[in-house]
Amino acid sequence: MGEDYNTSITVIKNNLIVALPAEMTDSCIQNIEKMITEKAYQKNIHGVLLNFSMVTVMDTYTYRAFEYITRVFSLMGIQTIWVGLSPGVVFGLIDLDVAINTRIKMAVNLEIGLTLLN
Amino acid sequence: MNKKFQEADDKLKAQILDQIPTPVMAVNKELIVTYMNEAGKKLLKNRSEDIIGIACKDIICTDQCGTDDCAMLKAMRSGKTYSSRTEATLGGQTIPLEFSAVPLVDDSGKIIGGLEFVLDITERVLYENRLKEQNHTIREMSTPTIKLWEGVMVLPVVGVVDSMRAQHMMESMLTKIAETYAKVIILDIHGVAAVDTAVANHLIKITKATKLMGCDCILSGISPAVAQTIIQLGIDMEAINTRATLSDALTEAFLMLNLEVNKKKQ
Repeated sequence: MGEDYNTSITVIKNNLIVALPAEMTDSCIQNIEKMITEKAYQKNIHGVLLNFSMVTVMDTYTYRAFEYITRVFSLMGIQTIWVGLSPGVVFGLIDLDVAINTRIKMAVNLEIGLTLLN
Repeated sequence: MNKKFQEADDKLKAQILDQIPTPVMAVNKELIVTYMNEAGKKLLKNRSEDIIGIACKDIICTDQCGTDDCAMLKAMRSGKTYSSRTEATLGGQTIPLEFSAVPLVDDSGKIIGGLEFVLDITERVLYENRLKEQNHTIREMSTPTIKLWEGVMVLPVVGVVDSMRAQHMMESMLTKIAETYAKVIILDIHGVAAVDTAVANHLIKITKATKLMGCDCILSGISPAVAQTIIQLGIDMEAINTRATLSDALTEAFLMLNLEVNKKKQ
């Protein structure tokens, strides 16, 4: 407990909206993963929106972890969309030369993300 | 005879020191001024008697005075030369200075103080600032991100793409996408004379970055010559959506946004 604070999970019309905190530790990401996969399984979820708009720091590990989560969801037949990566975070990821998975769907804000899900 | 030479030599040395056009100052280990040449006195608008015996921080006041950053202290401690830039307050005026601090040693090689020579770089700093401003202006001019349609942005690139410029282009594009929620961005490289591996790499990086923001990037303005070079160099551009002209790219953007342009019925 205490690790996963600031993460809010909302369910709207079979879609799961996960607002991620500004900074995440490794164990925090694992907690989030566990929480959202279980919730998605229980509540008959069709799509997941990962909201990164509050995230200020993202390293290779964090990127990989969320890519992994996205793949887990796709195996469960759930579409995942990354939303609101800020320019600074993107700049950092490109600087780190992260191998970007172009198959993951991204959106600039929640509204566009939701229309992409429907 | 020898002594006479020595005296003449000493006099000459003092004259040489006094005639050097930049200020030279010597201090002892307690940072009390022991010598100041003519140029230094002129800069300080002060007479010799008032200077010698005063702590150097009382004459030339900088931000480093009294801290561990003091170049003179560092030079005396390590026995090496330290050069640095600072701003000094002289008689209520702040002027940029460049200085070198050297440890002063006696015949036996013991460090007895420090020697400092100072250059007034007001002119140079002015020039540098102007250059920086111009650089900024040129950079701003060289990367305009223009809104072409609702959700469509275009960034025309003219000239040479180096890594600095590519970074700036990426920065400008990403902030614009975040501001306007654009869905498609067209990168028009019509004005880029040569595309080599480095430039292509930058372009690929930019498209990846826009993808992460949830915005599709179309690369347009690829002339036959550029296309041929890219293929000859063996660069893999498969991951990027490329079009020959800006109008082709715009058509593609309309397709992506499910828009249709029709001729008005007569």
